[in-house]
Amino acid sequence: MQYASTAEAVDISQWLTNLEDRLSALGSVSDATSYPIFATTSELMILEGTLTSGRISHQTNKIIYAPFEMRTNEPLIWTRRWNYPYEITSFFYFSSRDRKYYVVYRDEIQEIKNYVEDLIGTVHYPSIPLEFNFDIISINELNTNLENIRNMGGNFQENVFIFIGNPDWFRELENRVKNVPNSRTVIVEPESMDKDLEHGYVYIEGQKTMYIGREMLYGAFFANNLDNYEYNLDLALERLFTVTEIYDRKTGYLRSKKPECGYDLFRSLLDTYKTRANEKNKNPATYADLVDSLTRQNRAFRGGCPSVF
Amino acid sequence: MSSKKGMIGMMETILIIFVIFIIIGLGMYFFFKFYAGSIEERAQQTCMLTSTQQLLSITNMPQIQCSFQSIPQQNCIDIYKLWAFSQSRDVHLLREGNCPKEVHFEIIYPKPSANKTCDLQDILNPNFPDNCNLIELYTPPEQMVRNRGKIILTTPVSLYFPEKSLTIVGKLIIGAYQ
Repeated sequence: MQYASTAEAVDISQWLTNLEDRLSALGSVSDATSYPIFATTSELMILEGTLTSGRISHQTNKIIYAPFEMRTNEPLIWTRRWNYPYEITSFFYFSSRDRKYYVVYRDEIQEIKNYVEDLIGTVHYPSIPLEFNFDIISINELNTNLENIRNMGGNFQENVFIFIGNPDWFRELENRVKNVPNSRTVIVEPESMDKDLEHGYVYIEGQKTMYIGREMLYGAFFANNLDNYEYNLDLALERLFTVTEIYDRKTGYLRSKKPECGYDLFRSLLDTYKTRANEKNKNPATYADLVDSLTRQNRAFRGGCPSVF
Repeated sequence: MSSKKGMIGMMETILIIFVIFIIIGLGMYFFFKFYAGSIEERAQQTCMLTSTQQLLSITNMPQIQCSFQSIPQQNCIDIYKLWAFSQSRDVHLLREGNCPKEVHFEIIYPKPSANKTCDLQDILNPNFPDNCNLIELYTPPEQMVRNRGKIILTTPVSLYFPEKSLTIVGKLIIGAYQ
């Protein structure tokens, strides 16, 4: 009996290590999907840096947005590199085939409609993989089809409604979709509704927090609750700090070799960016402004003055 | 007479029980020895798999990968980022897996005149990359690797020097301790 449970523990431990290896391999590219089929239907719990199955836990330093508990032998895994304004780290998104996502927008506002189509990928590649069961739906369409969606809701382990736009537009609808079985809502409020929609705020479990960059916004769709999202946000800001520190040092080396290139302003921008990340500042506009300035400055290095990233 | 016979019978019984215990003990010893051996073998296999996977993924880490205008360049390592990363707190990310590993980069071609480990002075020296040939990214603590065997895995990489816009041939070396 003791032997059987030890053998099982060794198997689960190896399974978790294999899963982590698979994630590392996936994370080495900018955009990848994996639909592994595991031999056993193991219950997988993903919670703040720990992958757990049965009594066995495996520590991971990866940033994983996932349902709290998945009982499947066929998890859907998607990864994207967080690029803000340079590649920082990989984000991993977990889901399963029995989950459904509805992205809801107000079709009178063309910018948001275009953004949603771009975000979910009906226009450009790369996009959210088809297997992840995403549907784009306008407020009017949702109002018309809500009864059908409610009837089908029980077929899914989770129905996630993602509202994109001003939270006031969705107050009434948010209450109505709560009647759909196994439902969860996420509201995305971009900082600006007409030009830069890549940073802003998300409301998870009614609580407001920030997103910076599209990859982090995807994370809000998949995070099971605010704690999971915020844990990953803090980890992402720590990675942002260390990668920015690496660029800061690189700029210092370049400055010592090429003093004529004027890397001082660039370094001061990197210093501010680093400070914001280290403070875990939750104002998305401060990051977005710095990203704009860094991108512009980086493009300005030419000829004998190498760009930094 | 009968008590003597009884004593002999009891001693025989004790002896038989003793022999049975020895046989069970030996059986358990060999069983667990075999079992521990199979776990050790699986651990070694997992170590090899993780190290091979790392060999592929390290060159694509954003912390050290070359990029031009935010576009990453495959299989290219930026020397300045590599050195900065070796000094950063994130270098512990390389520790993943179940066995300790060392991760180094060696300059192969053009072959440097000096065979020594590079430090910051060497890297900033105008003679670089001729003045040293090895950049140590991560070395596990001595007590973790004592009395362990080592397997070396290597793969060729491009090493890029931003200020000279120069790319040379190097080698990523992973030493996995088993």
